Amino acid sequence: MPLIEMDSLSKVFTKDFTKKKVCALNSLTLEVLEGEVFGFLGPNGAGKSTTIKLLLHLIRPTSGRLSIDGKAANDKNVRRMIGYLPENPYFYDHLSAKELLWFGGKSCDLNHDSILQRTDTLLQMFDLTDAENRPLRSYSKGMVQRAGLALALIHDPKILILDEPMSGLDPMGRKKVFDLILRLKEEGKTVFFSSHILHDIERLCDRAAILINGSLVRSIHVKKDLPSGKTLEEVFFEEVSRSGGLRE
Amino acid sequence: MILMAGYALVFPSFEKSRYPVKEAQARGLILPPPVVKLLALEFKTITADFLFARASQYYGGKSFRPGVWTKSDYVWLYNNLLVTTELDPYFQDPYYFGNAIFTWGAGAINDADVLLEKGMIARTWDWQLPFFLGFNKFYFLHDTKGGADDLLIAAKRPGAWVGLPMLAARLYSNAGRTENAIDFLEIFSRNENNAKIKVNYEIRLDALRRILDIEKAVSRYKLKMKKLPKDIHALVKSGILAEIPKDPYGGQFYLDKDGSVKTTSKLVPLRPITTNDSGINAGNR
Amino acid sequence: MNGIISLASITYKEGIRNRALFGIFIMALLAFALTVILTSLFMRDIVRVAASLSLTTIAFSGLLMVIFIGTNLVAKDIDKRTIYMVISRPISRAEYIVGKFLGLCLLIIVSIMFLGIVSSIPVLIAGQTYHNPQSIFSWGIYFTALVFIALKLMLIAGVIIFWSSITSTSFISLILTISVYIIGSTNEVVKGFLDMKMEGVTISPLTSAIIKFVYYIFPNLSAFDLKVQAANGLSVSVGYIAWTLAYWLIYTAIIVSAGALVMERREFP
Repeated sequence: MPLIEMDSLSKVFTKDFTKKKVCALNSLTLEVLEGEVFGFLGPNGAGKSTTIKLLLHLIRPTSGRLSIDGKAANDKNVRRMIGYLPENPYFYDHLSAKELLWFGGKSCDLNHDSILQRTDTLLQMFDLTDAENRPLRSYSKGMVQRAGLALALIHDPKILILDEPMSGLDPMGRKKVFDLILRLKEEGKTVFFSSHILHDIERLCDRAAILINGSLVRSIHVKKDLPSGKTLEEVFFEEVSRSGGLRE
Repeated sequence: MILMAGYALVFPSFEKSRYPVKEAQARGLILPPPVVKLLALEFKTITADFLFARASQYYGGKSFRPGVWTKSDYVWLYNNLLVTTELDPYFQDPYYFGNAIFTWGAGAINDADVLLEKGMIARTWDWQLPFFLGFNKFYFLHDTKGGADDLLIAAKRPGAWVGLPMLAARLYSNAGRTENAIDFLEIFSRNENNAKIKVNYEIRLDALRRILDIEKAVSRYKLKMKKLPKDIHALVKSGILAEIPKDPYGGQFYLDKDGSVKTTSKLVPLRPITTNDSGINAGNR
Repeated sequence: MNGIISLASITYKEGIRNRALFGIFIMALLAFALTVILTSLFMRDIVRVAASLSLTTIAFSGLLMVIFIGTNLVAKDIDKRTIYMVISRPISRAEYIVGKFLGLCLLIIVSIMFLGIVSSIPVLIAGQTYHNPQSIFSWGIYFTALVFIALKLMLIAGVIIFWSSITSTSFISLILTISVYIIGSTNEVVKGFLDMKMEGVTISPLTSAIIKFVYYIFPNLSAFDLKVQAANGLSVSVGYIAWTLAYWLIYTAIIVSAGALVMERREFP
């Protein structure tokens, strides 16, 4: 059974004053299987973030169905299985990484000892131990990203949903995230991430979907489906020109 | 350097020219009590504090500069105290201050009494308010019975001076006015912690005791001579008084047509009113 | 439950470490010091004046704290996108609102306790400076007044949370809360005027209806103002305390629930 099921999922935004409707997502049907690394790709404004926010129940679909592990997205317990990293994570300025992780663990009903232990492990893993008691606003962008990842992992979730996890990172940082995703896959986690860096998707994902102008245009098995000789990049640009260019 | 000198030169005149403006501002607009209550939101007590401080500063400030007290000054003060007590009817100072300035200095006894009566309703534990009221009625309004009634009200309140019922009884029996006034003032003085105010009471007591001496001398003269003395000097000439006592307020004691003792100072200092003379302290100036 | 507790905890921590709070505390401490000096301007009732100034300082500081730091903690959560870190946990919208509210309440309680204890110093000094036999000051009422200040602030915190759940900008939330504060501080007095039926003053039925509406819908904040009683040492009946507490409980519950309900429907694109 697929872990994430999306069936004809649509989202239409209405601009309050002008009543103009913007269709951010158009009838998306997609499945993510347990244990796979799924890449979500598309140009800016394609609807990738919208899809992710629908998964997190940050917004509600205009139509269509969505289920995660058989449960509806508005069930808060669904989020216990999900570790989310937003595109630009913002945290409360004055909290320390340690307190942030405590919050993450406690809100998922972890007991005190588990929280302490996992906090130590994660902070070490992400090289944040030295800064663990410093306020988050003193962190560099890379450190903030890493803290966000730690927060996404503190409760040992089944699914990782990452929105542009490499954005704004230096090459060292990107390598770390890269290796992390590989390791998560080894542990049997499901990873769903969006990116517009095609090269990463090519190397990391089992399957990928291309989203353009709110519609799913192609779903591929990265390892299997890519015709020999063609890179993902070429496939992508093919799809873009086929859909008649990008919407502003 | 020149600028600094210029500043030093200009400043005193600048400051002096501010006085009339500041005074005008201080008088400012007195809004009707309900409006002030509304505008004060939850800050009624601090507004009352501020208004009272303004009143006492206005009073104290004016006393130190040559200026004549006009009726409008008193009206302003009165309205200020009305608003202050409207904001916080339990605040002690406005009632005491009001009573002091409106009685001795201004002679506006009824205004003082209005304030005291208002205070009595709110401050049910304060025996001094009905006590002051009683004194005012007895001394200024010559309403001895009214004054005695108020003394009895005061006597029922906690901490009241134990001699009040006795004093009331003496008032009812219409015993000597000066003696009663001395009794009253002795109680005032005994209960006054503020040294400056206490001195004022003592001065007045001093004057009244001397008046009492003269009154007793007049009685002795009447007894002996079967008629009233022609003037105060007659008392000395007849040997009943050794000398004419001096009025601590700087006036001259004299005898009225009916034989009662009066003084040219009217027990009010001959110089312009300052805080020391009027029996109240408008701050610690 | 864990969601609410964990959120309340970090909300409190974020609030207490806010630089603005530090500034407010410093201002309050200076005001207390000033109180000691200002009492010398008065004649006899100086314990009353000290208590009045102290309590007013606390009420005002508390108001600043709740309005500015409260908006910072709640309305700005949405402005600054920090809400994502919370909403993505298994915390429902209602739990979010309750958690935020409790965090604010904890902040208020701790602050008022601290300020309250320090505020007693100028009052104690005033008491030592001059013995006034006509003063019936009582610490019991003083601390009751402090508790009521805290209750009022918590109610206002509920109002902030309510507005924050409806509006999209923290500034609007701020203005609306200040408006509710002003209206709530005066609606009882205005209704009192209405009830008095003063001579020569006619009030149109529309005005009358508006006044009554405002009186019942907007919180009656003046009920929580015990400064006159505390400063002068007047006692407050147990009945009054009980009924005001009940009013507070119900009104706060209603307004926080309303905020939670609105939040359920809200989206965060």
